[in-house]
Amino acid sequence: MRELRVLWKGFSITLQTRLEYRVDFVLGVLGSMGLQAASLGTLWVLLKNMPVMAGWRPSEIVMIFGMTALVHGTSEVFFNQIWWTPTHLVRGQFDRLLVYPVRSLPFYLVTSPELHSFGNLVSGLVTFVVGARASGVSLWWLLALPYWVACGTLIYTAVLVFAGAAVVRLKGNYQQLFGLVNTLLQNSKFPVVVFPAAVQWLMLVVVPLSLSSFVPVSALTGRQPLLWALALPPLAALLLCSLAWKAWDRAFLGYESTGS
Amino acid sequence: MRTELDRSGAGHWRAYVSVFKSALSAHLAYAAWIWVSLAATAVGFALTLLIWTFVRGGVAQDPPLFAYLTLAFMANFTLNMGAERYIGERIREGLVATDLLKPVDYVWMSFFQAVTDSVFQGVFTLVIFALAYTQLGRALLPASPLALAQGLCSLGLACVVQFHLSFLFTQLIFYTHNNYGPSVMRLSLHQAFSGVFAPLDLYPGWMGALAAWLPFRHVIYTPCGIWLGRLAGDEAWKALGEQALWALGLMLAGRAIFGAIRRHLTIQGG
Repeated sequence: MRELRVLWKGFSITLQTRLEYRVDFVLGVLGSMGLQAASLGTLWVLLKNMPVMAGWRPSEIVMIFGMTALVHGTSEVFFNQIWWTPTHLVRGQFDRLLVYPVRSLPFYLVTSPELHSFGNLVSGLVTFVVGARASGVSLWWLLALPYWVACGTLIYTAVLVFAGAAVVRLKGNYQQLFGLVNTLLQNSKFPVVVFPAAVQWLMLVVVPLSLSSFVPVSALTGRQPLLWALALPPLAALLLCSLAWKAWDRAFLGYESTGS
Repeated sequence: MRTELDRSGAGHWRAYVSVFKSALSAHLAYAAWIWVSLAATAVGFALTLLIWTFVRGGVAQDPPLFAYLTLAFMANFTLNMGAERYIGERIREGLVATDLLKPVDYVWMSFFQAVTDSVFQGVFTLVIFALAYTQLGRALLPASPLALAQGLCSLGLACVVQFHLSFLFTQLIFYTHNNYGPSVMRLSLHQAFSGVFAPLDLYPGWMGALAAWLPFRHVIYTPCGIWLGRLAGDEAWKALGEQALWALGLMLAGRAIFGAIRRHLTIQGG
């Protein structure tokens, strides 16, 4: 409980510092919504060339887009600081973190909420609702949405933590590793069945970013049993989070400060 | 005696060449980083190609489209300048004060630094070109000798357009004090309207019309379209002319706004 209180304090204090940058907040929210609009634009161009992709109607694909944006936004609100690992490593800013009387990973993750994430959250929710209505999916399923979004957020963040652990081990400014994870997330917006088998395996098993968006929407549209959609995402989230946490702690066993 | 600093840039070409050389040396020191960057970006490109392969029913069904996507990826990686990041961080941390004291033109100095990013990254994309050539063959080559000349000229102008677009958005950091908002704003417009994921001639309705009115298409679509002959004859000359006008207009607008900002500048940090 004490650690949770510390985490909450750290989160709320940094949230207040973010609120200082109001113009940046507005531009960031608009920009995030713009990026979602841009990816919907790409989908539009693709659908103009193929109105039904592997049996998936546009409105059903739009539901996956919405869920992915919600996962992205939630991770940005609660666990965004992992993106700063390369910068903090190069500047030796982990020295301070490692002497705090809390476990380093959760404290590090929660102490840099990004407000522009509201752009992803709002656009994701709107996109999902519009897609669900057009697909004839009951809006009561919105009640289950936080469950899947939470699982997806944990999966995505765990993969980012693996990237962070790799950066600490490699001791370099390898920001692109995070970009790579984000690229995989952005591509999990498409029904995974449009990719070859190897990529499907990658996105459902190795880096299971499609598990909390594609699988639930498949279940909601009657393509897969609901049980899978309810059981697989939390299992994957649990497994990946525990492995990622271990990887993070192990990476810091050989930590050498690089700061000046 | 009072000494005035010459900020016109005239007579300082040696200084800019030095900036270019030192930035290039820094890139060479971090070549491994560029490989990681190229690999990471190439994964995204590969996934885009796989989606288009599914939509088109195979690469062999539409080689010109896949040639365009390859060149668009190369142009995007080449013109992905770090200027926004460098300048943004220096504004945020107050270090821009020392840059402004240097007896060279700040915009030109930033431009030359940014050009090193393009030169260096452009060399790396040749690997992608070679790999793609084995699959696409002649479809990747310029449509004609004139297309080659116009395409290279357009790529040079694309570099100018991209830098000045970034510079315009980066100046918003003087007001926002944070670089995320401005850079993501530019990025979203770039993703939607530059033609990086699909040729603009495939865009539907108003989206294509809007893209035609914005400068972002001159970063990716115009050079790639001219090279491959998607834009040919009068259309190519018209696109080049518009691109040159955008380059000039953005440069003048950026300078005018930067001049105004400098008169009201408050330096952060210390």
